[in-house]
Amino acid sequence: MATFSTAERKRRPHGDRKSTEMSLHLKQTFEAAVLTNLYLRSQIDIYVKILQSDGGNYSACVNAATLALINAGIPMRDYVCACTAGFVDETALADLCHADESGGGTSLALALLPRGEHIALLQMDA
Amino acid sequence: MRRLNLQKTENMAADMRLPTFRKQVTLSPSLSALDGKDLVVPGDVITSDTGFMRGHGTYMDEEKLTASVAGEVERVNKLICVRPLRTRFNGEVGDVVVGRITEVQQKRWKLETNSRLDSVLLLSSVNLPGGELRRRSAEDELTMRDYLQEGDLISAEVQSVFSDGALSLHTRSLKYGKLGQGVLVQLSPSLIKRQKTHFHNLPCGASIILGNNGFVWLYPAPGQQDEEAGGYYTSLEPVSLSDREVISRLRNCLLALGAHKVLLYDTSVLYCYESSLPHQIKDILKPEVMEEIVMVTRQKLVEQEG
Repeated sequence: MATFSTAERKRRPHGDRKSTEMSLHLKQTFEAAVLTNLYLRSQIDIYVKILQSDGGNYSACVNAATLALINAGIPMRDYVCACTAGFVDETALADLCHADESGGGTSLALALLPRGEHIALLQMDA
Repeated sequence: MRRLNLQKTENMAADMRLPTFRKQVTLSPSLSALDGKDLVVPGDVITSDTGFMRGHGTYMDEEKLTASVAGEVERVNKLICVRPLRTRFNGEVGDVVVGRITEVQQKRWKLETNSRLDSVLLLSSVNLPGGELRRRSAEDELTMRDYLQEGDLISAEVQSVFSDGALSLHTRSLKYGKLGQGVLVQLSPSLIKRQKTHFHNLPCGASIILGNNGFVWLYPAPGQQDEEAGGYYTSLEPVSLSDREVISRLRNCLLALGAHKVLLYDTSVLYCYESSLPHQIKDILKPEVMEEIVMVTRQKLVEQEG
């Protein structure tokens, strides 16, 4: 995450727990989507830098990385699309922003491969 | 104490431009390039017919042949594959490549050829100086660096493909070998047309090597061919100004064609060179001039085909 991406300047942009967790989730998501059996003994690095963080960080990273991988010509099973959904004050919301996420309601992040309707990652925070 | 003689040059006008959207250069809608092209993205089902064999860029998903990369569907009889629009160079046996030496190892050189893995040039795949035919000894191994060092450019042909995808190259012909003075242009491999020969002597006064890996080498037309040297001799004589201008113009033309995704082969490069003659060499890099030149080139190519 860039230091200027959040409302308050981040003093430690890398290596904090949330970033590490997000990196791990991204790795798991793309290991499911990329045809890794064609790349034995090779490593695919995905670098994502968040310039503006206003909720739905993980979803934005997944969408951006999908497009980058397709542009690079790396074989994938399908597009990976991600979005968040939530329930705040008895109202169902989609694509939550930072205020919605920290408002005290639940939020659900979903990454899925649309054609075959396979879910790559499902994560709920309360 | 040396005196620096500073000459005051006249003020040269600097060209500044703000970023704008670039208009896409297309011919009339009836000749649109998308006609007859089957473009797919990952996840698109190509066919549910089980009678087809699957090639690169596809995978089987519950008896349905699905694309795994974004590109064009190619069908050769019963084989279906998808050629990605943008990818690293996937070499095949017989391709001509231009590569740069990155490492000198025991009995082999490693080259960078815009592919997923570094290509390999074995010591046994190069010609010895003087054209001898003998087994490579330990002495040859020690003098490898005298022939090819890190940073040298060579032209070579793909001999075989290792199981992990790395290419094995050879320079066992007099037309391949170390490249001397010239200009390298790095473009996408998918823009180079496959032809019978990739070495061309253009009538405008320069020679070109269109490597299949997207590396194009421009060099002044060789005067006298030194047959005995066998790829070792690199001429270090100064190149004349007219030759250098031709090569610079060709390089800018290649960049213009690459920016507008025009297929590169000797005819298209030559037409682009001719249509760029009314402009100054440095003007060719301007977007409007690039568009104009590419439009004229495309027009000429269509006329030539029709």
